[in-house]
Amino acid sequence: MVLLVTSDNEQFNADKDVVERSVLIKNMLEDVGESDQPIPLPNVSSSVLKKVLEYCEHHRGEPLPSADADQSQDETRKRTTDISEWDQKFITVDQEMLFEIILAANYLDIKSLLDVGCKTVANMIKGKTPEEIRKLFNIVNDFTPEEEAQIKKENEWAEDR
Amino acid sequence: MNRLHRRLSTFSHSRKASRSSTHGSSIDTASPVPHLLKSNAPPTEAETAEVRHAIDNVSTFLISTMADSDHGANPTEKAGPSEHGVLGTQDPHFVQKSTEFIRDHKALLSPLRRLPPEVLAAIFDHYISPFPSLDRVQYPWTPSHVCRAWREAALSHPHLWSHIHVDFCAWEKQRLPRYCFDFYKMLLERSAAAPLYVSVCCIKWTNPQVESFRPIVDLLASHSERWESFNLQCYIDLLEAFQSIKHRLLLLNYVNLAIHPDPKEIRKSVIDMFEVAPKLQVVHLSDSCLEFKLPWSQIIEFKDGTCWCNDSPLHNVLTQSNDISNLSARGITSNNLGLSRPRTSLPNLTSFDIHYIPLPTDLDSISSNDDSINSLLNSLTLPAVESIAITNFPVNPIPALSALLSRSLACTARLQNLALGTCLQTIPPGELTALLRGLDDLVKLSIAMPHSSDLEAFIVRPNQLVLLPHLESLHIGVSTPVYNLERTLNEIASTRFLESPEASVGLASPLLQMRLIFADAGNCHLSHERLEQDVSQYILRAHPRELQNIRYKLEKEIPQLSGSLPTTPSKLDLKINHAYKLAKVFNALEKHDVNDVHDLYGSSIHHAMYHVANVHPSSIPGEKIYHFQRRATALLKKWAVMLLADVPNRRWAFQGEHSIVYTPMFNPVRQDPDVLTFMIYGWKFSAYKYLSCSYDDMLGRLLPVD
Repeated sequence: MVLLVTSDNEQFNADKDVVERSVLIKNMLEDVGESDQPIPLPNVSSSVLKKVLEYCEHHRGEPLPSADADQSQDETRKRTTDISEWDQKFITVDQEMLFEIILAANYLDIKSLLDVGCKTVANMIKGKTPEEIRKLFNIVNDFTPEEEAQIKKENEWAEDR
Repeated sequence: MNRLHRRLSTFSHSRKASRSSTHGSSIDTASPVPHLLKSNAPPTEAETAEVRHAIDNVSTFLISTMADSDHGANPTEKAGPSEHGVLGTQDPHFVQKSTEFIRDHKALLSPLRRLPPEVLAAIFDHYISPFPSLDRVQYPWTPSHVCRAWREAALSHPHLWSHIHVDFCAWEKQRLPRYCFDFYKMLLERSAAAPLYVSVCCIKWTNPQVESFRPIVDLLASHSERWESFNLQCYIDLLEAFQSIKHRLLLLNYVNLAIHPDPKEIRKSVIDMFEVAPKLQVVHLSDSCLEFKLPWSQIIEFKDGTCWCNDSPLHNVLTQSNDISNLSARGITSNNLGLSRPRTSLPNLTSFDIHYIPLPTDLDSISSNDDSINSLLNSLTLPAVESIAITNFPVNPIPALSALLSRSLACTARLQNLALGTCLQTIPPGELTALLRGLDDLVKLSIAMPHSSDLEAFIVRPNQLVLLPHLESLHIGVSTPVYNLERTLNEIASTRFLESPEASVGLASPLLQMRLIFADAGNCHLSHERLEQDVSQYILRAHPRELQNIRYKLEKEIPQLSGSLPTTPSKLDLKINHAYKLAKVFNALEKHDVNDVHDLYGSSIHHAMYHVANVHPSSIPGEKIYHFQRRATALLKKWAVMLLADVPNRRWAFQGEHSIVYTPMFNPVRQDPDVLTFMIYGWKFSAYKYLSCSYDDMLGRLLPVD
């Protein structure tokens, strides 16, 4: 068992083969060797780690992506065109939790979870205009007038080519 | 910020007092972090604390004021004046403004603001086409127009701009459209040094005026050192315009060329621009009778869909591509099959696929006793082969295939996938079973409907040697309705599938997919019903005759339903006539009371209505006047109750256009809210469903369904 400590000082005990889906934790455990010392995760809160561990538990034992997998962007896209039914249910959370999970997956280096999160956000923005995306995520339009002009030109190019 | 703190602390001290006093009540809504409200930057830790504090105070104020209001007090009566940046409860938009303050400040805390550019780029990567294809390449335009952070993330990841798809077919004239050159120049600049995936389509222009396309062709060619893949569909003139890429293909790994010959003259051009490409390993060709000079010794995958009238591609692969792992010749002729060849071993070939195309003289010249047609198969030794497809073969391929397998594999059981089919002759009874007995590891089998005795061998019987114990996927091509084979097919399914997750079968692997593929929709529907009748023991009653008559009349007015191509009546009055007749058919159908679901099955009228409801409205004469699609949808809705209730009695589900798959009782599709689409009508509607097509075409069309 491995003891994890979150940013809000909550402790989680989890099986080694579950937490080792995180490349960050796997490397830490390899560096430290056999130890009872808790692993601090200052960038992950307890509510988010709970979700992350739920994901790792469900996918326990599945093959991890190979180290050179992200060399080919095309391969990545081919592999992840769909989200499995379980993953879809798992990732049906509010926006804040969705982005927290993505940040945690990125920090903990859990590629498959990061893919699920990114794909979900990609699906949310598909078919929407920039304005609709801003509204969906409360994003401020912070373009300068010069940038706005360039964007307008790009739109014309894309339509006219 | 200190001002806010002062205000808020004053408020928190004074709130109790203000409740009991008649003096006004107000809250400072000036943001503690106004600079953040105008940007998408994440707040610092200190700013986060301030924002949380401000949100808490406004929320508390809002809740308490609302509570006062609930208790009968009118906040506006005791409200103080509203100042700039200070929100008083007397403000008519007090609730809205408070809510907006909370929403805007909560947005500042959103973890979205903390996403690093590489994560945003990963999102955009999924946003653009899931896999490059000719018609679906996209760029992250929209995300790059949302805000500065997103734009920077999109522009700083060159791979997001590295799929360069040029569709000359979209040009209205053979003239460079405005901005076109600038557009592709910008894409190439944004792709920086990333490897490029280039695809060009120009099949619309049978007589391409190459000079019109030259600026774009030259622009693309000037970056050919970065091409990793090149996909070109065009007539030969345009291919020749790319000549400048010769010797400049440093990264090129994959080439897919569908080159149409010049319609005016037959040219025997030699294409040598890919001859020097140090990383080229995968070559797919189709539609061309050109001679390609390729770095044959490097090729590991070669697929050619061209009718191979000359033997040079095959000869080059067999003699020079020692590392070839995947060879597919989908247009092989008797010239290639019968040519005498030296014995050749391809040590790395794992996938071998040949599809025979008959030449006009073959019918007379090929006989079953003549072994020369097997020369190619007899010359090969394939010690690593895992997948073999020999389809549309002119003679029974089993003797030559058996010899090839036993000469190639120390243990023939290693073969994982097999597809077999003949065109001019059939496979004698017993031979298929004898071949399969030795292929114990076979996972996927695709065959034309075998002799009944061979089909029966697939049934798992107690205390008998099991044929293909690891078989997971069985595809059977069916050219005629399945008369007298219904029981055998159902028994294969019922003995090889798991009917519940807890059940077990006497097999190493249960069957996961059993699919029957038909040449046309009529056979498919008829065979489906015969298979279901065998399970349910119901007999089609005589009286769907009226429904069948309605269906025949529908077919007359909507020719696609009978397998004909849509036609447009030449005169307006004819079209109106069609529409009027169709309206009469619909009136009759709407009056007909369908009480028995088997009447639907027997007449396939529900399939016809499904087609009417989903096809493009222009295919239905008089749609705008009579609203046939809406009426068809209403009928489908009415019948859905009956069909849904009968789903548990059905074993076979429609898939794709002309195929049905066995669907065990625990298949999750049965619980799907859209079960009627999955089981009754077939997932993915096709407007061409009622046209017949070859077994191979069907397999191709079924791929996306799988």
